[in-house]
Amino acid sequence: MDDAEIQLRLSACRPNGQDNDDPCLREAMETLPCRPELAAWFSQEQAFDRCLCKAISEMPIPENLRAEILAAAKLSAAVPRWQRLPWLATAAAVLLGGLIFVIREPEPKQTSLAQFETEIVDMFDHMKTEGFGLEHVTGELSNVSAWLGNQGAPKPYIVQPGTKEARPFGCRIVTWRGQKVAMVCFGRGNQEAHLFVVLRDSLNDMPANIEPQKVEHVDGYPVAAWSCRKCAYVMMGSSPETKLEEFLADDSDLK
Amino acid sequence: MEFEQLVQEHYQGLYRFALSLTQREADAADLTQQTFLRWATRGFQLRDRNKAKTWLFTTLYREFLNGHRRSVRYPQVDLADAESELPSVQARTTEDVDSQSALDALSQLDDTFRAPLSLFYLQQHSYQEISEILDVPIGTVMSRLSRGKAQLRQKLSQVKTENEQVPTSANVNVIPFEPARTRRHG
Repeated sequence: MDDAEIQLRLSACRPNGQDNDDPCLREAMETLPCRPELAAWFSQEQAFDRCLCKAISEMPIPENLRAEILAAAKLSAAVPRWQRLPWLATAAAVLLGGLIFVIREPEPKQTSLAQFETEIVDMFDHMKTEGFGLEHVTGELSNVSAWLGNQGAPKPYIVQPGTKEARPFGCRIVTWRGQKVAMVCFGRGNQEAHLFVVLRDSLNDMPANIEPQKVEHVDGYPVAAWSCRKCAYVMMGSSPETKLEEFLADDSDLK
Repeated sequence: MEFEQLVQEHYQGLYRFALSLTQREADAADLTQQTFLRWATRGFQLRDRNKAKTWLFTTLYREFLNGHRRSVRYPQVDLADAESELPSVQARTTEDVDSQSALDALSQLDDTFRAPLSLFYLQQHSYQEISEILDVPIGTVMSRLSRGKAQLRQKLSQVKTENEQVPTSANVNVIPFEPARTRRHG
C-alpha cells in the first residue's frame, strides 16, 4: 500500500473513532508510525473533520419539524395486511371495478354546490374512518400548487386570510364523479382543515368570484365555500369541533 | 411507537442531509417529511429493520434526485484516477467554522462531492453505508471524500479570507504532501 492509497483510505475515516475497528482503515492507520509526514497530514485531516462535524451538528432544526412529520404520518393509515399481497389487491380492485361498472348509474354532467359539499364530506368521513395518506407532503403552498399542477389537478389560486396563517402539511388528489379534485390539508394550532378544489364548471350553481359567506354544517362538519375564476373551493374542518372560522378570517369577523 | 422512535432517531440527521442538498430550509423540511411518508407507506416492505437508517437516507437522496430531475450523470471516479488529485493540507481553515459557513461552503461544492461529504460529516454513516446510500462503489466514495474535502477547504479559505479581507498567504500554513507516484497495487 503506497502513500496515495493510505491517504485515500484515511480520508474516509470519521474523526471520532467510529471507524477504528474497520480493517481497511486500521490497516492504513497502522502504517502511520513509519510515515511522519503522512501522520502529520492525518492529524490535521482529523482536526479539520472534527471541526466540520461540529459545525454540521449545530445546524438548527425547525422547531415544528418533528411534530409535522408525526402529524402527516397520522393521516397515513397503516396498510391493511390484504393490501400487502399484490395479487390479492389486484384481484380485489378488478372485482370492485367490475361491480362499479355494472351497477353505476349514469352521472349527471353537473351538480349543485350543496351536492358537492355533501359528497365531499361523505368522502372525507369515509377516508377518515378508513385512514388515508397524503400523496405529497410539504410545508409550502407553492410546492402544493406545483405538485397539483403536475398531476393535472386544479390548483388553489387563492386561500382565505386565516388559511394564510395556517401551515399546509400536504395534499392529495381525490376522484369525485370521475374528475380530479385537489385536497390540501392545513394545520393551525391543534386544529386541522382540508381544502377541496374543483373546477367551477363542474357545479351548476357556483358563480365566479364568490366570497365565503358563512360556515355551514354538513353532516356535523363545518364547511365553507367560495369561488375564484375557474375554481370552486370547499373547506371543511377535520372534525365537527373544528373552528373553521379561524381558517377563513383573521379576526373571526365572518358574517 | 416504532414510527415515532424512528422519527426521533433520524429526523435531525435527515433534515441536515436534505439541507445540504437543497440549500433551502423549506425544501429540506419537505424532503424529510416526504421520506418519512415513504416509510409510513412502504417501510413495511423492509425486512431487516436494522437497515432502516440506510433506507431512510437512500430514500431521501433518491427523492432529491427525482425532484430535481437531474439530467447530469454523476461521473464515476475510479480509485486509480483520483490519485493524481489528492490534496495537500492547509493547516488553518476551520478553527472557527460555524454551521452557516459550513453549509455555505458545502453549497458551493460540485454536486458529486456534496452528498458524500454531508453524510460523512453527519458521522452516522461509515464509508460502506455512504456507498450503499449513494449507490456508488466504495472506491468512488473514498475518492469523492478526499477530493471533496480539498474543495471544501478551498471554499472555506475563500469565505474566511473574504470575511477577514487579509491576504491568505500570511495565514495559511501549507504542509506539502506529495503522494508517491508509484503503482498503488504493485
